[in-house]
Amino acid sequence: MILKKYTKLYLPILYALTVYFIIASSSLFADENKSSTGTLNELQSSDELYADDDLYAGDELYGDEYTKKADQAVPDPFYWFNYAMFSFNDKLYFWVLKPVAQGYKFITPAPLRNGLKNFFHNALFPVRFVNNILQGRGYQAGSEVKSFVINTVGGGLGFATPAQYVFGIKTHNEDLGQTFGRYSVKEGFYLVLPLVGSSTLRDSIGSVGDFFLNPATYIESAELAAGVTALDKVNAVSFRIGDYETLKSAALDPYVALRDAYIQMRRKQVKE
Amino acid sequence: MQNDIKKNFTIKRLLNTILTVSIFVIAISLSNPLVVVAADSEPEVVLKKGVNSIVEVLNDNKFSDPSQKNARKDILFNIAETFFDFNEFSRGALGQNWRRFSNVQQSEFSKHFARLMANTYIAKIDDENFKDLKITYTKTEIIDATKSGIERAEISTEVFHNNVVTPVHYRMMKKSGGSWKIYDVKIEGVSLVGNYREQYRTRFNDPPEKIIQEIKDKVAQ
Repeated sequence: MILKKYTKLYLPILYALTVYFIIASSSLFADENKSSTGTLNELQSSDELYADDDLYAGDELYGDEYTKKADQAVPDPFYWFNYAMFSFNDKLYFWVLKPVAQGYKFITPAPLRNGLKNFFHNALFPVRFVNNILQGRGYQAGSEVKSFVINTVGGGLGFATPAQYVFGIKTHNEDLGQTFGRYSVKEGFYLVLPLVGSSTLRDSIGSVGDFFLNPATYIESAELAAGVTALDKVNAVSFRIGDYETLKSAALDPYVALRDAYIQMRRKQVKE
Repeated sequence: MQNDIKKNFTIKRLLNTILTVSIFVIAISLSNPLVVVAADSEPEVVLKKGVNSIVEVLNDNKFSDPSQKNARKDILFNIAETFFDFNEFSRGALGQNWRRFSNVQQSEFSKHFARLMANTYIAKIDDENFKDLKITYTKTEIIDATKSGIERAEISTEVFHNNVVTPVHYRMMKKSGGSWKIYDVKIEGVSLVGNYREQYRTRFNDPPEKIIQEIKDKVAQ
């Protein structure tokens, strides 16, 4: 009992210390990775030989933006671990998650799935609100408050979204990973986590912080918490069946395609 | 008496809180950001026309029979070719590898790469879920011209289908003939060309024939 009390108190402090340590040493990480990855790095450095301005003359449409400069690329020092996790998640999706989501989609009426999606979105209000504040986006934080109040009261705990349909209020998915990005913290390195999927050092640390802001964390019964999280995940996937398949089937190297898509998506989210 | 005052006080406090909150909310609502309204620019007209004719074919009952699937695919591909510049797509995707390809190899690659794009994404939209497809055009932005003066524009849209909103951005360029064509598409912020470029980035040791064959195999799959 006492232990529980203490862990509750110390976890956020421990967390803050970790974040501080990571931010302080993020430049160290970047330097380390440049020299530590053997063959891939050699490839990249000979790649740089070609990245001469002259060679890009016929390529100006894309050259400025998509040419990966050494400081823009996100290193992947744990490639083999990541690749193993990528394969694991891939199997997990095709063997478990997709069939479950398809079955769930088949037996669950669309309005209920939509309602649940809205409910889970509404419940994550603390994450969006706090991160909008941390990013100094007062107007957006205000929108979150308005949306949360209107949808919770007028939309039956957020199952319906009158704030969006009637008032046209937009919500903005901000998370701690984006907040760190906004504070100019670099991604660190690419990381694929089991069950979670693509991430980076920065975003993984961010999601631990967001974990404390997620109401599901404070559900007393562990079984219920797990059930709620699983329902959220399956419900979300039921709207997106086919997206991953498209990306994978169009790619020449699905692992690289997914890594790049994740990095591009996150950079856009940080910018916006 | 004492109780009444207490009660009154609580009510007053409650009213005060409500008032403060509503003032806060009103103040926020009044500070709405400016809404930009722009007339359709030239690239936007081209894009809308192209997208509309694709949606038209998708909704046409004439092709709803499964036996018509391949015929429809070809029609969609032909429409796509009128406003997508697959040659630029290929050049961007290959990045620095592009100049290792001879002219013949370049057009060979472009041909198959266009097919790969079309197969994947037409298959994706040629689906029951896209029956209720709704597209809104949110913004047209003129981006800086390239060094040699190619005019460019970025058009933001939101695609609403299956109860999910997906932001799709089209990047367009003015060809030397004066027509506007799409040279890149960004879906949820992910550039299609950029994504392939990253996959080809470390392939500078592979001969062009191998890269072309790989695309061919992919299309045949």
